[in-house]
Amino acid sequence: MQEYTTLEISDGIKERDSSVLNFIYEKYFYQIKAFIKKNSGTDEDAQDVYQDAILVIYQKLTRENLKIDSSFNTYLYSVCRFIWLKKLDKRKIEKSFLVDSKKFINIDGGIEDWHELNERYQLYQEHFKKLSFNCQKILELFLAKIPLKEIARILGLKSEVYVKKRKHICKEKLVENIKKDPKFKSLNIIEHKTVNERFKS
Amino acid sequence: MNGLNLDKMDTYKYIEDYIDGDLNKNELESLLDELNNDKTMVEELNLRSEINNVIHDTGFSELKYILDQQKSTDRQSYASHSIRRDIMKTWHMAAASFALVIVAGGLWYILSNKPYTTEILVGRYYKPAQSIGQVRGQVSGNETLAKAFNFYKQNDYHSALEYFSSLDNQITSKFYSGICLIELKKYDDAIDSFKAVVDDNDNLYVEQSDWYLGLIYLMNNQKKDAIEQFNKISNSDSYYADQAKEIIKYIR
Repeated sequence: MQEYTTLEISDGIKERDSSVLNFIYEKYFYQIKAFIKKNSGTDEDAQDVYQDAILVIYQKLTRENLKIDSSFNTYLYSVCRFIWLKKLDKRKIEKSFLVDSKKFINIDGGIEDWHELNERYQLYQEHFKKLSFNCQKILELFLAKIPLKEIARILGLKSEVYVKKRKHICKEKLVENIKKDPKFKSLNIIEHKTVNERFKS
Repeated sequence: MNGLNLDKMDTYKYIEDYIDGDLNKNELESLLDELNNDKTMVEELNLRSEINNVIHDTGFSELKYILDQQKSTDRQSYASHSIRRDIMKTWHMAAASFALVIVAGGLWYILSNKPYTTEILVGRYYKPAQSIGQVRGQVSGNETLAKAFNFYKQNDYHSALEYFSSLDNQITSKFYSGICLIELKKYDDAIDSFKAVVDDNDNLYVEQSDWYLGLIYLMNNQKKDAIEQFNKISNSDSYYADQAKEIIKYIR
């Protein structure tokens, strides 16, 4: 197996490089799994936590320009540990006797925010994929700033006005489906701040 | 929105217009005023903006897809190099999610590396499309189709084909019959299956079927047909147009 430095791994995650992602999975997942299983979790929990951790690290790398100072192994383990502690909290499982498999570092609070955002992203994405093919395509093209005329041509729709109308219908359907999902209420949905409060904070 | 005196649906449309940058100056000022005072509206705005971000953030979708593959796919069959290229265009992914063709990415790379023959190389790196069950988590509403996919996932293409064939009026079963027939090396029958899908021309499998047809011609040493097929793809706006162009260069 090809080895990668921490920097190469960071770049690989940013670029969604399958070779790097495979390397991480094959090299480090078993440690995460061992930790989760020693601490009241299952194989499936381990898979979920691992995936959540990689998505959080991706967000931090791409949005916050994260530089990982420790080894990647330690950083990944620490993020997974943090996420698992949060999940144990939610499940109201005692965590005072946590058994660690390896050393970890203290992770900054931003992890929790990214994790919550990713949970919402995944819910939105799940419902987006359930839309009709045409609805998915029209929303993607619209948000990619493709001119309405071009969208009409690509999708064989009769006019630009009709494209806008379809886009509206598709978006409302998506929002409605998301709001109806029981998971939506359980997620920490977006802070209740007005614009004024945002500027103050 | 008291100031604007709008009902709920109008409010949603108004927020959407704001996100899309379609409000005039007066409307914009009114909306900002509302946003300053109405937390429910801010929530709605945030939700809708976040949804847009998800749809637009192709990187997140790609990464999630790869991680889902790691979660669900057998490690041996996980073709890491090719997956990324196949999901680069996420709007196409919607169609491709029915049948991701994971052979595409590595093909030109492979074909460039002589002294292997085209047939050996295509055969070596060819991967059948993923089943709907793998991609979407379930096949609902059709027990026969579910059974067919069950065999398909177990690589039992003979049994899968029997079930798919019993549903031959369905485009999905036609497409997957084609894959089974490739696996069973019945190339002429596979060609018939994919041609039926392409001729139907009103389904989500047309581009993939065109692409598979080209590959089958390569496998079957039908060089002239392969060139013709890849020319057809490269001159269209197919997702596989660029790869088809590359293959044509190699064949010539």
